[in-house]
Amino acid sequence: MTEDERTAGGLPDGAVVIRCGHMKVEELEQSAQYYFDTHGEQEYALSFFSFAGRSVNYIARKARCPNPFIRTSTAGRISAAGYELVRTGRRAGHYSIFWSNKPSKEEWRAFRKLFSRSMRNIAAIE
Amino acid sequence: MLFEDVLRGEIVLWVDFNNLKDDERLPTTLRYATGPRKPGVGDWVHIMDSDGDSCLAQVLRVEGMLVEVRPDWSTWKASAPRWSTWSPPRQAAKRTANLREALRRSRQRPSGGSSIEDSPLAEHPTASVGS
Repeated sequence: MTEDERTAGGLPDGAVVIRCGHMKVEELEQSAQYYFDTHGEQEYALSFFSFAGRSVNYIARKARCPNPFIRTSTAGRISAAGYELVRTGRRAGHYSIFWSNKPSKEEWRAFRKLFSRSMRNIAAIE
Repeated sequence: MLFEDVLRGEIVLWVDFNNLKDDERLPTTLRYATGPRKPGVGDWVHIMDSDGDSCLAQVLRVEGMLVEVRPDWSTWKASAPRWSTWSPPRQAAKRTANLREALRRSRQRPSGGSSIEDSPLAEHPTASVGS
């Protein structure tokens, strides 16, 4: 699979989904803008990690993010809110959510509410 | 760190560590970069995410707005000692404002009427007010 290839997510509703960092609105805006700037200026996207049936700690180890904190949700909660997790990239367990238009700050605030409060990342670099 | 790096003329790139690749490459954009010039291949730069987590990284590729770096994890500096509501810039700004206000008030007092123990700054014995 190339970095831009996409396949249907196929995650069960109960699958834990994580994103590294505190998911501040500013960060979500910048990350989505990064994708827009570097992938043809067609759409905005954010990265997530998930492995069906696996724990938060397992997924965090696989994600290998150095961040001290992560936030978690489930595939079901995300899809119920109208977002689609799409399997992307070469990395195992890497998923993306795409936006065709730039989300407003209010949309980002609503989106981040789909995730838990920040929790310690077991794979963080101390 | 950001201001100091800029003042020293160093290049600081914003990154999202969620985008780390299997081969340790980390792509990012020049949109949020600060520094005296565009980074070149082989340059060592600071990389920092929106939470303030940072480390040094070597530039592997520059192509338009896209920059790819390889982080040096031995220089990793996590920013967040506390939980989710922690906001480094806001808290630092508030602390600095409080100290400035305390200093201003202590200077307004009549001379000879106060000791260091009376000063609001005494609550922050290890703090120093920046220039």
